[in-house]
Amino acid sequence: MILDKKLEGLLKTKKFFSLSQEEKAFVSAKMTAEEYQNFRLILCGSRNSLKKIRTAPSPHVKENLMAAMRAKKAKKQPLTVSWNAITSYRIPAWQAAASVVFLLCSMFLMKQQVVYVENEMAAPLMVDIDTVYETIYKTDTVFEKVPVFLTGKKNVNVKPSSLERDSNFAEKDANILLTNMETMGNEMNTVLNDISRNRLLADSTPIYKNQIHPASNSWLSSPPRGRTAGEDADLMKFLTEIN
Amino acid sequence: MLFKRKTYHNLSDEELMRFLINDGDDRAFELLYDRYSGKLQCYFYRMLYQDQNKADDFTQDLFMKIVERPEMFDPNRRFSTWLYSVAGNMCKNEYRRNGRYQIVNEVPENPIPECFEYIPEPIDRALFEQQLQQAVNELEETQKQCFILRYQEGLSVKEIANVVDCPEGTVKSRLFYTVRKLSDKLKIFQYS
Repeated sequence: MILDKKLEGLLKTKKFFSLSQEEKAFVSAKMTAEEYQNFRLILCGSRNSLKKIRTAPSPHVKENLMAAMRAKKAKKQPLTVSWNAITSYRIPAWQAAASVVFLLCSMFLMKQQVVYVENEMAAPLMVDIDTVYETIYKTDTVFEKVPVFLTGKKNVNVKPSSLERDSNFAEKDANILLTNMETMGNEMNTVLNDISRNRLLADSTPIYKNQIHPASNSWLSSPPRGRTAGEDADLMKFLTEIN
Repeated sequence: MLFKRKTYHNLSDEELMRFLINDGDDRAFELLYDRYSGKLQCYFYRMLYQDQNKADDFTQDLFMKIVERPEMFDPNRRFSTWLYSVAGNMCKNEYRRNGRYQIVNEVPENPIPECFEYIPEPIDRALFEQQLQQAVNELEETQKQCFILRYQEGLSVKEIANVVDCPEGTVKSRLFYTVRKLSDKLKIFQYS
């Protein structure tokens, strides 16, 4: 059983004998006439009696709460910007119009002020003198000596006679040096010294200046003597087969 | 009108709560307090053994919750419904703390007479009201809550259903059986 809106409305407004036939039929389906009257007594009586006990909280409750509210707000205030309050704040139309006029006037006055300052600038001015430090950057050429190494090929599995070896290597070196002589001129002596000092091209045999001039050394233009590595290998193979 | 100063009195409870949550607006809080403190004080008074001091304390605690954590408010709900549901939960906690609920053992100043038909009407009405309050205090927690919210605070059945978090049909049923229980207790007054 439920106390629906219609039944509640009837209970609050009508006594049982005041109900129409239709209403009586509706009520009778739910309760007896006696129950209806008892229900009505409770609903009407409670409306009066419950509302009589309205009390208000003591004033110090509100004071305490407002103090707590202010304390919380004071703690929070410096940290947050209330954008919502700024954007939703409304002012009267005349205030908005007045502020626009004020802005325009102030802009106009500012412009006037600039002209006045320009006139004053025409007067002689005192110039303060102060020491100015300037940094000067100087550039200079620095020469650096870079050693030059020349490389050459050497057969490592051939053991020619010392003369042949000397002549073979000397021939190659001479060709290189002749080429360099045409272009490098005075650097020839330095290169020769490097060759003799470092023994890179001439193995362990020193090369002297007078030995490598093509005019005075006819062997430079003659074909090389001795065996190549391939010939040497063939020879060894042949000798092995014979033996 | 485009330019109009904000007037708090025209704002709804939910709008005031929005100001309170966003800006910590103490004016909005004060207005909410003025609107609801009396009703809640009365609610706590009826629900918590008709103790004025307890009702004061509970009213203060409830509003202190709003001061400290206004973001607890669910903007999808009506403020009044939300407030009464928080108050109802506080009462439930109090009942639990006290081991179920206390029955107010106030002895009626005017006990129900055996021969009621001889009692003059003004005394009869006062006695009825006193007995009704006594009977309401003795109701079960859920029945008492529904009855007070409906007939004291004037909430609709739908709002009560939101407060107590149950279907509307359940609320109507509870109200019916509560009224029947009270009418059985107080039917003696029917004849007077």
